Amino acid sequence: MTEFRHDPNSLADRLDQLLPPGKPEQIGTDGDPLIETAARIASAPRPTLSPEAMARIQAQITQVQPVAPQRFPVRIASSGRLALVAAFAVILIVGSVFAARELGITLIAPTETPTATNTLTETPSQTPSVTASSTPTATIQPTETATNTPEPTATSTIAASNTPLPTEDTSVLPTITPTPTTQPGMVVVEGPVESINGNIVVIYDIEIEVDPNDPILAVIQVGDHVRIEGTVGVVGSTVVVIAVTVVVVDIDVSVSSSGEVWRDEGDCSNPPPPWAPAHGWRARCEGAPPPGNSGGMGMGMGNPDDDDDD
Amino acid sequence: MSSETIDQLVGRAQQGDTGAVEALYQRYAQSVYRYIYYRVSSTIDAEDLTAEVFVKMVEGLPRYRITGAPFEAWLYRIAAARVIDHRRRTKRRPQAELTENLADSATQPEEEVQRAQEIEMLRRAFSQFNDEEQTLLILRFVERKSHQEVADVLGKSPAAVKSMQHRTLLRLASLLGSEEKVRHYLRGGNHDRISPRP
Repeated sequence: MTEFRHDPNSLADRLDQLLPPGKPEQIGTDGDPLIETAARIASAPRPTLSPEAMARIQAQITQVQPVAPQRFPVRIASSGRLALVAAFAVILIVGSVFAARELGITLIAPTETPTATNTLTETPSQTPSVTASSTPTATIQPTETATNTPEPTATSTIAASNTPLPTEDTSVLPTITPTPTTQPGMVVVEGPVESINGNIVVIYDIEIEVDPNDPILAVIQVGDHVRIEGTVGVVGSTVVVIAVTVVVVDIDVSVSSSGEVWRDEGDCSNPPPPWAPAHGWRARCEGAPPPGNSGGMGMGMGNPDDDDDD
Repeated sequence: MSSETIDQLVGRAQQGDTGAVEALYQRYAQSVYRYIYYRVSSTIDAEDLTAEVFVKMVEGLPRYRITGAPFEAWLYRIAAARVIDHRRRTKRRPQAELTENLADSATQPEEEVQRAQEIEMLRRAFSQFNDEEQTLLILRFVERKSHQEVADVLGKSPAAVKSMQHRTLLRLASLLGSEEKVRHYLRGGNHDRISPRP
């Protein structure tokens, strides 16, 4: 072991000859200390897992079930689970209100007393087809204890035009199963983008993995106010949200049918392409009126680029 | 097994085929174990981390995308992350485990003792290198991967791997040379050169 005779390339070539990749044999050394060092590692004992250890690990991994591929999985950090629970509660309440409106039921704000009286106006000609259920359809089991329990919808005082049959026990608090205006289990995460790492967007410490091919990724920036809607599921031990829409709330962003994206940077240096409506930019930078405002310019007086065609 | 077959196996595993998952485990378990074994201090830790790697594999399969890079590159990246995480958790010194592993050497045949000593010497030498260099040494010379395969795992070009290989072997040659001298001295090797007493 005396003479160093190789540069990186010649060393690599020589090693490929003497210690061919993928083959166990060793075809000598050439006296170079680097080759001899490599040969020493190659000839070292090769520890192996015992059959017992193999079987034990095999048993462990069979306990873990692979999960079918899903689009837009959003992994929720443990610190964001509490926020997710709160978001659920808000959505359920809002969904209940929408459903109640559609059914002609007026929901009054929840009272503070859990034993609130239910005021029900009967309409005997109708059998109530709506029965109650304020139980969330999706279940989340946070590891930490939530201390801010959402206001129970069950305490709502309800004034309804269709009432239960007289035989119904009115001491039982009614609950509502709304005909949802959004899909069951839909959640909304809305807030400022805290960071973007590849296709991972973080809002309120919630890591959201967006489809890498989604053009919105080319547009959103840290600090943008973003609204993400999706459905919730559980993959293994991870709570996931299947994102449906990602919308930038506080800035004007347009995406063409071919995936091109334009973003209003807030000044006039970035004119929109013809396909982008960009009403705000045009009103600000070209003096065009905002949509629905006919003041100032009559028919045919607008910017020819104002049409929405691609 | 060809790369195409591995891709098909992975595809079936992604669909929840437990037989495919088991086949992947059987195929890669030993090499992943060796990779971890040379980077941690005990056999038990190496087994536990190997189990963690394959649990992570099963959990992560739905998100794995076949990109043309070898599947095992993904496994080695999981393994590397597990090793780093393990070090953060334990913060133990490798030297402490050498003693642990050799504690019962007196009851082992000499060949076994030499084998264990050689492994421990390599482990201790490897621990002087950073994560990428350790990965290179183990994959290139224990697992006999090509420069391209190591480049796939490390996310580098083959040229960069060759350069790192040259640099790492230079330093390792120096380290092992020093270790040899120390071990030779501690085991009384110098006495061989001294004339026996009458």
